[in-house]
Amino acid sequence: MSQRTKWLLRDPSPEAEARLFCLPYSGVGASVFRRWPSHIGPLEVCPLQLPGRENRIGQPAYGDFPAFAADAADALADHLDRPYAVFGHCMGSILAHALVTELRSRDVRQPERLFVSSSRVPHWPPDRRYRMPAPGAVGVYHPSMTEEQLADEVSRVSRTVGGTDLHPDLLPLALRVLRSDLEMCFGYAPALAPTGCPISTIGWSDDADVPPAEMGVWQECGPVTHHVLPGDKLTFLEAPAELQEVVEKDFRG
Amino acid sequence: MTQTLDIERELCGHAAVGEAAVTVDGDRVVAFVVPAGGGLSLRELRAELGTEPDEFVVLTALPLAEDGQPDWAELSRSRKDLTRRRMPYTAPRTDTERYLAALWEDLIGVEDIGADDDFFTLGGHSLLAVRIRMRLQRDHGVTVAPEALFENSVLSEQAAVVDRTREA
Repeated sequence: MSQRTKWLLRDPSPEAEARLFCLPYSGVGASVFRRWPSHIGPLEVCPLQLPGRENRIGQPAYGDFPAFAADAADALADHLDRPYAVFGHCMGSILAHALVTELRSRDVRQPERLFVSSSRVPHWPPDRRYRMPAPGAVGVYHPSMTEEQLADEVSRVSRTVGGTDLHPDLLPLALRVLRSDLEMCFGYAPALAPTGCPISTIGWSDDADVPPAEMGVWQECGPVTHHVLPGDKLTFLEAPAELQEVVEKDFRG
Repeated sequence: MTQTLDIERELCGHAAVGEAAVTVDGDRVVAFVVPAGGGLSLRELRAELGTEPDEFVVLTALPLAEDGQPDWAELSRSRKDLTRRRMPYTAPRTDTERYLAALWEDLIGVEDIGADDDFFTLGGHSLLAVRIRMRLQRDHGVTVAPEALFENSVLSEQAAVVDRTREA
């Protein structure tokens, strides 16, 4: 058996009709997609594991998006042999966009579509892209937050998602990668970069961080199909039926 | 056929099981189960069943077809997906490997975990990795750094870390 790439939580299936490479939000690893089904329509769900988290915790996390995109594009090269799309949520959308534009500069099969969920566009300046969390918002981080504020918020997400407080053993590890991700996001101010493929934007009706209307700006990066789904910032974790329908329908075009 | 229905009925009546669907694939009886909410130990479940299936696939939800019956095509795909997440089976060789294999099995609901399997690939996540750490402290008096458990997510590597920590 060949050495598995640590970029993918599991080996893509040689039988898959198509693939959906999924990028997580800041501070977490590929296992956030664990409640997603193995397939959505023709698409095999392939979560990406970035360094600095879970089974890649020993590797330093990326400090900038272009380095991430170049390495991720290298790692995925063998798996771009059939139609595919890229999905990202929040910071994952910015990662996904960086990956798609990197792939665009390479002589490889191009993605069919980019799916972005709960994220403003990468080419807005960081202080416009990221806001201090609104009151009542869960799962929103900002680099100006203190360690205590970040710790409170990480624990709140943990309670919301897993029903329990984050274990004290995990908190320092979670904060380390989260802080690194936030700095990476806040230091990123790229020029407008077209995707070269259609984009589906997914806004969430009760998202206290990114109002669905602000996602319309993605049309500056490529032709957009805009969706607003019922739910908040973290609803995507459960892969609700509405989200799966959007992904399948838009992928099939 | 009656056998699968019997197993299905017994599973559905079990307090730890929320939903279940049982089928025959080739010569294997495969039970798809959704835990009722709390943890589900397949080992304990087997011990309490009159007739056991050959194989369990634990799911977060039972996919249904439009007629409200289990979506067997989707279930078959889930089973294939689980198979693909496994490495070719190598039986655990040491006491520590066997201990961890049984522990993982309870935590992630996958049977017959092999020495080359990866915790995260099989569906594990950080919170469950912390439970490994707590159980190691309780059962073996060994305190392993969380990072070491995360990074050594292959069973044989994790067992080696535990053994090294114990000796240190």
